Amino acid sequence: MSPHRGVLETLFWRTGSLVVIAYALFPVAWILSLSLKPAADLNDNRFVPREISLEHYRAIFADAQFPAALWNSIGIAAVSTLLAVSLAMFAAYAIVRLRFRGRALILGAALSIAMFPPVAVIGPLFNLWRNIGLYNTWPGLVLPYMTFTLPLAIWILSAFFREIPWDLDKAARVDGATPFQAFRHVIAPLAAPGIFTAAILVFIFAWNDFLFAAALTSTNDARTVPAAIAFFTGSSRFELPTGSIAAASVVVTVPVSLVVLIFQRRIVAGLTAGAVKG
Amino acid sequence: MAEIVLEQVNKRFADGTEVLRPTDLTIRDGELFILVGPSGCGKSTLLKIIVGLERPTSGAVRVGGESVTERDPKDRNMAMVFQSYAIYPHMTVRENMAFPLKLAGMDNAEIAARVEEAATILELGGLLARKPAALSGGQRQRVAMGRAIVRQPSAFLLDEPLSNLDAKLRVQMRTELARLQRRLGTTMVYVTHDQTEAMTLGHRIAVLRKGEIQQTGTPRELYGRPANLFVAGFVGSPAMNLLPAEIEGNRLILPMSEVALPEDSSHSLPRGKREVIAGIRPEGFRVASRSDGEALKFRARLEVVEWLGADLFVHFDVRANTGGRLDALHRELELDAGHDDCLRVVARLGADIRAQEGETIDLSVEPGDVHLFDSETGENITPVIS
Repeated sequence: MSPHRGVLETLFWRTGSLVVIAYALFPVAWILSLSLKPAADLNDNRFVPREISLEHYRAIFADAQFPAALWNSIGIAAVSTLLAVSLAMFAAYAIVRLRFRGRALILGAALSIAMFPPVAVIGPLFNLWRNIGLYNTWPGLVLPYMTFTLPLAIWILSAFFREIPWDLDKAARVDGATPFQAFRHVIAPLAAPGIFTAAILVFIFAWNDFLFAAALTSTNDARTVPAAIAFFTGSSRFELPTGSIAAASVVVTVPVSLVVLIFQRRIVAGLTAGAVKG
Repeated sequence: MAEIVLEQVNKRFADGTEVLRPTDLTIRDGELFILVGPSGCGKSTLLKIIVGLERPTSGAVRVGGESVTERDPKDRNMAMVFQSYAIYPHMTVRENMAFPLKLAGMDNAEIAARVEEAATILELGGLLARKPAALSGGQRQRVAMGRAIVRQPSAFLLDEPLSNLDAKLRVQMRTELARLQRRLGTTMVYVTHDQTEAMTLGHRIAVLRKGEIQQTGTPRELYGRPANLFVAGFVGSPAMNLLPAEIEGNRLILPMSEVALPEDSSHSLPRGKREVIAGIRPEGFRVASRSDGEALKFRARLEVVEWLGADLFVHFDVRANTGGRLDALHRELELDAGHDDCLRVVARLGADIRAQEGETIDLSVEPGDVHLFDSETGENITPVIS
């Protein structure tokens, strides 16, 4: 390859990446800018705020609604992640390692659940939850989140378990481990990147969900941030709460971005590891 | 330390295929016992039954007089070395070797001492802090061995432990393994498909084929008197030459010549004319001289001559009207020995003999070096000369 072509190629990829990043991050930057403008400047059509003010952040935390929603979001997403990933771990291990009738059926069924449009179950779920008392509770949201994320988690984890040589499991058994010890000391540590990948994807699903949160909650008891933002009101009925919405959006984006940044190397390893046989 | 006894052990899969026919086998205490056979002969299954990774369909496994048939592998106190080594990639060499001891709940000082000792024996001292990814194939093999010996198990089970190493290292590790076994004096069961490994390492060998033990014995017994055509073709390198033959009275008629069988043996052979298969090892041939009285003598035209320094291998063809009888046999035994009416024969001669390709030389075979096999059953029917 000639050096000339090398330079052109580098230039092409760099500009390309810049365009994509700018396209993806522009709305985020706009929201950040909105959240920092004083209320009076919200409609000034400027990208860089004339004056930086934290009044919207103060406002959303002063209201009881937002801190409660934040707590619900963190709690519900964490519980869903923990439950979905632990369940998926055992399910995937069984599917990969044990020979039983209907293995393919289970994987197929899991996949079809993932394909199922959530909107279709919202109505019935609303009635069902009201009848059995799960409406507007944490479990009421944890359950659907688990249902819709388990298939994905099982698929990711079974891809990982499949890559782990079965001999390691047998070696651990001969070395004196019970089946569970072999799983805990040998298999699970080796599948750690997969577990992280699955955990983060489940967490993001639960964290970002609006549909279930808006339909299945009614008060601060279980309402999560995406739903709570929709119920923001301005200080008077003639005012749109644009500033508060922008500030709240920034606050909910930060934790997810942080988690992804911290674990990004593991996730990348995780997302590609199952794809190509080493 | 323990004697391992298998009683009528067999294994049948759910789909009905029998990978191991009912087998009786005794592996003596302190012995290096080899299970050898071509792939798919059931040798690995047998090993897994001994260690408990597979349950026998029926039969019993006894270790030191105690039945362990129903016992979980973790409670059998046996150590296994896998073909893939199966060392834990997320643990250092030290952690790998300490793992079985930790599971046994041993205290840390004792673990450290044992790991240190095993590392010294296996010359792994400088590598204890490394991860397996940073080790060479030979070193990984040693770590797997180290993880086995730290436990001081009642038996070592090795499943083709050297097959992932290159040829030179394999020979070196083979000697080391034998030395280690003699030093520890622990019963060792070793699975391989390589007859050279089996012959050089084993105190005793069991040759398996299609889930059935063909013969059990010392390397000398297997070589000297193979029980049947399969063992005859499997043990020894190059393989034994198999030729169609006939016995008439006390005369043995081979395609190239005929010879009188020793007087005292003829009475144990069937009377009348009978078709047999004669087996002659490459080392059974000699360059003919006048002094060979009763030997089988014939003339051969050399097709290929291979001089290896210490040995001279000469290949020649023997015309025989086998009617396809031997073709099927050769195919079944996976021997490459010519086809149609032209059988390829190889002889090992002294390296000092000067022979050229295309030349004709006189060869002889002592009647005592001819193995005779029943052409129907393949059993060895060579008369035992007392």
